Amino acid sequence: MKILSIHKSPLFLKIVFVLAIFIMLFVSALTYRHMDSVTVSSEMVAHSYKVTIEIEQLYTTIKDLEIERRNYLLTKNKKLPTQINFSKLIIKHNIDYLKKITSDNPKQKKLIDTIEKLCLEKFKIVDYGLNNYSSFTQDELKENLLKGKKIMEQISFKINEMLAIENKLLESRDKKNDSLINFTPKFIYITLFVTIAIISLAFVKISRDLQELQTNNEILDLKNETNKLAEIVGKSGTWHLNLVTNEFTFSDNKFRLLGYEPEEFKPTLESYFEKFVHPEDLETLKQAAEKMIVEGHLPTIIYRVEKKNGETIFIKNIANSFVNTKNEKILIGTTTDVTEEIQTNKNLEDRNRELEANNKELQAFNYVASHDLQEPLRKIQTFISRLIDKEINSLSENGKQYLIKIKDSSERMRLLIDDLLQFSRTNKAEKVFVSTCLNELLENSKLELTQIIEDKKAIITSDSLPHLNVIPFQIQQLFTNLINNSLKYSKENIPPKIDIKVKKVEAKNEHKIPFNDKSKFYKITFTDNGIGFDPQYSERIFMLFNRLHNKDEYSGTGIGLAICKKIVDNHKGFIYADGKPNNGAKFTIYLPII
Amino acid sequence: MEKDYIHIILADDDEDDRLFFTDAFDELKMKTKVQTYNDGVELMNYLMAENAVLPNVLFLDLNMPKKNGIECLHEIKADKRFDDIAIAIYSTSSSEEHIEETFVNGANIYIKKPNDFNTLKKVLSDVVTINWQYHTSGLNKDNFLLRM
Amino acid sequence: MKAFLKFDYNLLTKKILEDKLTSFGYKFSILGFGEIEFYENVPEDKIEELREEFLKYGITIIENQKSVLVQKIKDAIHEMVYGEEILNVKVSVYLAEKLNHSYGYLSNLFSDITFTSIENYVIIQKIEFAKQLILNNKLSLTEIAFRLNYSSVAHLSTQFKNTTGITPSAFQRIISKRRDKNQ
Repeated sequence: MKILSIHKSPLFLKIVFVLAIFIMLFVSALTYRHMDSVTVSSEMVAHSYKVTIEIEQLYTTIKDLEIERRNYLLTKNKKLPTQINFSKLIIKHNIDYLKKITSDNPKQKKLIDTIEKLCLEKFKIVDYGLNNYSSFTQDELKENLLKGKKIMEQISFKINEMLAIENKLLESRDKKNDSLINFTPKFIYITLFVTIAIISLAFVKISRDLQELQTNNEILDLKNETNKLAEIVGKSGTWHLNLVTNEFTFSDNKFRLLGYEPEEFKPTLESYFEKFVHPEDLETLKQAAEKMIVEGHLPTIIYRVEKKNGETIFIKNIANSFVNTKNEKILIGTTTDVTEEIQTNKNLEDRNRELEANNKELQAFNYVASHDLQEPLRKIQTFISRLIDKEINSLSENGKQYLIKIKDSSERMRLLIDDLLQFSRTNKAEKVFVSTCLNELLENSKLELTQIIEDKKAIITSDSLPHLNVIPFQIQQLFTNLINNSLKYSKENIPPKIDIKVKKVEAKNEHKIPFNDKSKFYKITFTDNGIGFDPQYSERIFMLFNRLHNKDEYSGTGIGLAICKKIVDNHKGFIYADGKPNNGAKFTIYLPII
Repeated sequence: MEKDYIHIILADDDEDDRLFFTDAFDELKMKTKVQTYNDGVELMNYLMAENAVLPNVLFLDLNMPKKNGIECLHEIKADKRFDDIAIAIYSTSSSEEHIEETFVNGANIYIKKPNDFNTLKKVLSDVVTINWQYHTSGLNKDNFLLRM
Repeated sequence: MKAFLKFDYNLLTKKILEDKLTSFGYKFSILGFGEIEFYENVPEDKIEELREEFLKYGITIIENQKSVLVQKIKDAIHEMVYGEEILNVKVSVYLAEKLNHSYGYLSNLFSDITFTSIENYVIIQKIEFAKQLILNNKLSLTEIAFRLNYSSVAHLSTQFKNTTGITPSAFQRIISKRRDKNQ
């Protein structure tokens, strides 16, 4: 991400631009230098040509001189000495000139000096000849001529040497010149190429950036449109507050939330407070706004606002800050109309309270009913017992029977009320959890049932139960009810055997526990060898007043196991029953370890 | 029982329960003197009087108007004069926690009113007998707890 | 600030007797089992004085011969139950030997006078001692059961519950809550 941003940063662009200029300047400088060398090398070639020409010119002039000398010596033409002197002058001129133009070439310099010397000698001879021709003998003439010829040969030789050197030089210079000239177009191509490359790169980058910008813009446009729709659907709006310019902008929907059309008025922070915010919430909001301007962050705040049409709605606001490219701090906030949620919540709360109150009433009713019914029932039973004690013999046979039936019914009623009372106590009780030794509770249960256990010669075996955070009286009740159940529904003439086992388990390993995590439970099972039950009733038996036998077969109220379930529910545990007719029953309790 | 009678007081607002109580003692062959009071206020008025003849055993019903059994229990335990009285809470069914609480608050005995007259006679007889044994055998009164 | 006490009732009673009798003035000697012998004849009114003085301490001078024997039975049982050694003898044998009467006679006499049986009285004493031991907090229930010659903790618990109507643990809980309350 950092690398990408470096690519896009304006600084990078500037650097690249400067670099490109540099490259171009560099290439131009090279080209310029090249052109310079071409010029120089052309000049060099021209120079060589010039030198060659001059040398040949000199040679011609010297040859002319020789010819004129010979002419004169042979013809004695009076015109020729002037010509000869003239030529001598020209030769001198040439030599001077050649000296000048070959001053850069030491070899040539040496040669031209030699030639000068030879020419001076020649001049001497020529002058000698000129001055003395009249007195020349044939032999002196021949000698002069020969001398002259010899010098001429030497000069010729040197001239040729010079010419050879110059030619070589010319050749190499020419070659160089040629190659330079040949290279020139290449230079131009390179410059052209570099320029084109830079321009192309620039074009590609610009066009790509442009495309990206366009795409981004499209996305932003799309998002903007979507946002507008989302605001409308979500009943929310957004606002921006520029802390530097104090410019307060609303999104379209924010206007609509307040009951106005978009851009219907120009919003300011002050006018917002004055015109819209509910006076009771104004103080809190103002304080929060001050804090927001300082800290750059507004945590969720809910306040009331009066719309254009006078309706009051609940607004939820939250804001955060953001710094723009001009380094101005801008607060961005979302406003949502939460009137519905608040109303729904309030309704829910009201309903809940109603239900709780109702529940409490029912529980109280249940308790009071069970409790208060005991009194009159007890009286009935006591008076019946008095009657039976004292007066039964003064009754007729029917009378005795009726009295006994009344006694039985009232006893049944007492059982029901006792159990109902126990059931309502399980609901009503303070749910105080204490770390308790479950073994002790089990022993207490067995103590409570000592009589029945002895009567039925029951054998109760158990694992050593652990300590656990429970409601002690309730768990003891649970154990008592379960053991009592097993004792009651034992097979006739077969001593009941109850086995109690405990195991620590994890929720995910027990398919009967509806959780699937690692939460830990104690699994306590009560297995008996009694009459069992049809497994299709394994859920029904925990229902209140539900019985699987009529009261003449086995006494019972159908409340005992419902109490067990309630107790297990109070501990956030689970209870299940398994059984087969005539093959005993197994009750499994799961108690969470907390 | 050797010399004296055993002095018993019952405070209960229910007429029938008072009747059962006195009838039971009438039929028991123990030397007892039984007094009954209709509510807590009457009871405390009697006990607080100077030179009041204090009972050996006091039976307190819990639900009485004007002043209930628990209030009486607190008042009695707060007064050193009544330290020798064995206090029996005589009540209809209560929850286990509630029963334990009456003991903690100073009751010596808790009796759940039976539904049967003969059972009532047995219970009352046992209570009185055991209490008398405490008296005569120098057993520790503070540890005297009995639940019927 | 609390101080916890343990009572040695034997020593306690003996000391009180000694102190009282010394200040009484008449030469005496204390024979075990609640018997005092005076070396001189004590006038009736003096005996009444002594009787009243003793009553303040819960000590009763018993007149009746039968009552004397009953008291002896009670004392013997007391010694048996509270004694340091765990006696494995049967109560009937122990009493008959100690008091030199047949157990049947002793048993009948006891019931006539106290309206309760010896067996019952033994149980009452055992449970009373059990209560003390429980409150002392030094021994576990198992150890207490052993000390009182019960075959198991369950046996002790059952008898405790049968006698008092509450379990040993409930008893402990209640007394300790009472103590907390009376802070």
